[in-house]
Amino acid sequence: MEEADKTPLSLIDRLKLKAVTQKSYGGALVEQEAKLTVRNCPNCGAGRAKDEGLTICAYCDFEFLSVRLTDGITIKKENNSN
Amino acid sequence: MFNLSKNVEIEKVIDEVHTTKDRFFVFLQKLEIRLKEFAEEALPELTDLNKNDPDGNKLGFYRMKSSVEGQLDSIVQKARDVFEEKKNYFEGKIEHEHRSLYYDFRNQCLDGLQKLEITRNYYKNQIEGTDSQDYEMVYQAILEEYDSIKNNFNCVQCSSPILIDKIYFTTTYLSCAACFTQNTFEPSSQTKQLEHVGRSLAEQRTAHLLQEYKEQSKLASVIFSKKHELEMSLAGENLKDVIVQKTKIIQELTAQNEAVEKELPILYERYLRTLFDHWNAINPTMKNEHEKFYTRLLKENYYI
Repeated sequence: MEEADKTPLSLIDRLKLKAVTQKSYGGALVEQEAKLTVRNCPNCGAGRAKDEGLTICAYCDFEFLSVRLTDGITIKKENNSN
Repeated sequence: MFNLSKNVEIEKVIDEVHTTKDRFFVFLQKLEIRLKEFAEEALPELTDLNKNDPDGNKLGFYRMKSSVEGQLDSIVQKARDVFEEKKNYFEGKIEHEHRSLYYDFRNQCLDGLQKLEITRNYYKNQIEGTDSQDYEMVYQAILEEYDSIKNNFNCVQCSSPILIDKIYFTTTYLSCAACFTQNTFEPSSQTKQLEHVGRSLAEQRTAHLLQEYKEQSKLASVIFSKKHELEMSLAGENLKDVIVQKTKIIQELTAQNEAVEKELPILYERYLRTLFDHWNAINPTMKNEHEKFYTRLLKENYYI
C-alpha cells in the first residue's frame, strides 16, 4: 500500500492538482441570495429619499458619497444631490 | 584541385541536409506521438473536471484547460524552434547554385511541421469541446429565481412592498413608493452572471450561423489556394494549350472566389445580428452597450 502512495504523479495529474488547488484571486466564490438594504444617514438617522438625490443627506447635509455621479447602467447623473 | 575540394564540400553539405532532414522527421514523429498521448490522456480528465469542478465558476477546469493547451503549443513550438534553427543554418551555408537543395529542405520540413500543427489544432478543437455547459438551463434558473423573488421585498424603512420590476443584474437603488427612501437592491450571485450567461447563451443559440460563416470562409481559402497554385504553375509552363487551359480554370476560380468572398460579410453580419438580438432580448438593460460592441466587431472584421 505504501509503495502505491510513492508513485509519482503523471503530468496530467500534476496539472489537474495544481488547477484545482490554486487559490483564486479575490477568494472563492460565495453564493449570495438577493437582498434589500437601506443606508440611513449616520448623522441624523434620516433615510435617503430619491427626490433629494443620493449623495448628500437632505436634512443635515451629511455627505453619503464624495463623488459626482455620472450616467451608469441604473444610476444617472440626475441622482446627484443639489 | 580547387574544384575537387569544392565538390567534396558540396557533397558534405548535401549529406548534412539529408541527415538533418531525416533526423527532423524522426523528431517530428516523436513529438506527434507525445502530443497525441498527452491530449488523449487529458481529454477524459477535462471532461470529468468540467462536470465535477468544486468551483462555482469552473475556474479549476479553465486553468487546467489552459495548461493543457499550453503544453500542446509548447510541443509545436519546440519543433518550430528546431526548424527555424536548421533553416537559418542552411540558408547561410548553401550557395546560390545549389539553392534548390535548400528550398526542398525548407519546404519538406515545413510540410512536416504543418502536419504537426494540424494534429495540434485537431486536439485543441477536441479540448474546446470539453467546455460544454447548457446555458439555457442557467438562464432558466435566473428567470425562475426572478419570478419567485420579485414580490418578496419590503422597504427597509417603512415596510411597504417594493416590486422588483425587472431582472437587475447589478446592485441598484430602488425607490419606495410610499416613503421615497432609496433601498439598495443587491441581486443574487446567480443573477449577477446574467450579462455573461446572456452572451454565452446567445453564442450557443447562434452557433449554427457561425459554423455556416466559417465553412464559407474555409471554402474561399480553398478556392484561393487552388487558384494561386495554378497561377504559380504557369510561371514555368511553355505549352500553349496547357497555358490556355490553366488560364481558363484560373478565370473560373477567380469568379467563384469573388462570389464566395462577396457572401462572407453578409453571412457574418447575419450571424452577428442574430447573436446580438438574442443577447439584447436576454439582457435589454445593456442594449446600448451591446450595440456599440456589435458595431465595433463588424467594423473590425469587415470595415462595414
